[in-house]
Amino acid sequence: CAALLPQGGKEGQLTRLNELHNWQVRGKLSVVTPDDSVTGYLTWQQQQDQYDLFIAGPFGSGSSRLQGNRQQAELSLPGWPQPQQARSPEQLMLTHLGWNFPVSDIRYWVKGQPSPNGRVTSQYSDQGLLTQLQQHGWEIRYSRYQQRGGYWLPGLIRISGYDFRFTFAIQEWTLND
Amino acid sequence: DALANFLARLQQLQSLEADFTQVTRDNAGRTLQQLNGTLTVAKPGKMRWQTAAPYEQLVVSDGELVWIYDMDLEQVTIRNMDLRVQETPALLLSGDSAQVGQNFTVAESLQGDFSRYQLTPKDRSQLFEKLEFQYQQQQLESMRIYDAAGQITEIVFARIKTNKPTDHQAFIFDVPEGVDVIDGRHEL
Repeated sequence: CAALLPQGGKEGQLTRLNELHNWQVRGKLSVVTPDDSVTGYLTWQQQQDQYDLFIAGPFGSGSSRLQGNRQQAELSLPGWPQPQQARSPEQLMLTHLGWNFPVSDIRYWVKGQPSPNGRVTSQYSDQGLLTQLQQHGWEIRYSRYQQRGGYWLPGLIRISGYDFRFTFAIQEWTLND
Repeated sequence: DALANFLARLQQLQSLEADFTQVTRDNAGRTLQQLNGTLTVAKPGKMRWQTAAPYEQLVVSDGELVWIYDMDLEQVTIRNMDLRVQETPALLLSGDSAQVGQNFTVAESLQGDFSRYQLTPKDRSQLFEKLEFQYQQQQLESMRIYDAAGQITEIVFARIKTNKPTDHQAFIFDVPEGVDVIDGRHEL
């Protein structure tokens, strides 16, 4: 019946997603870099501008943590005595993991909405759900949308660009707004 | 010696079909992941390893290549089959047993009708620190994988059929529609 379909089309969907500022998402992450590919588990917690990412490697080969806000980012990797700091999370991920990982954009992309600044080209399903997005040199493809806590949120997100591919299969959304 | 005894068991095994339950525990013994599945293995180097939801994964090897199909991620990774059996140590059961000696040091311990073979990789960069294969008399009964972070994955086999003819279709993998392929083969 109608209630099972998103209401208000694209504008309705995007306005609702803009209400989401406190959430957590958990799932399986595959990372394909120019010279390797690895699969692990990602838990991402977002509270307003505060983010906290926990990435567990395959076969439990240790876990990494990236946290911070608009001003400051901090990364801790297995075996490090203490975390490293930098102005941006992207800088830390590139320097220490060798990943070109656009954290500040994925914060929005993961919900199925474009990141607020920068040129965007996008395609929407006829129910107003984002299916494909090009932004900041990346291409993002969405599928397996599900209704969770009154919001329509994607279940599979594929981000590719700059010889990197991130695929995120979401197992659980927790919405705290 | 231990290597010779373990190789003798590997060489007796032409094929194996079994159900398995797999439990991964952290170094404090807390269960991190539990799943079950089916394993089919046949020489030379063929294998089909399928786990059920919620951790659906299918690994197929035809002796040359290994396809790792992750249904959650809708992604297939293709790798060359070599004894660097990082993700699926079960490949060792159907692999070229001559290479075991080059790649692992083997220790044997006997207890009643159980004999346990402990394999430590000579190449320290492998994801796991050691592997254990446990036999009850002649029958493979379980495997354990000890990884670098102190986690232990135990795989217990059931309804085991050894040296029965296997359907070779089981070792052929065709990539499903709409699935991403990651070609992890090293250039030959």
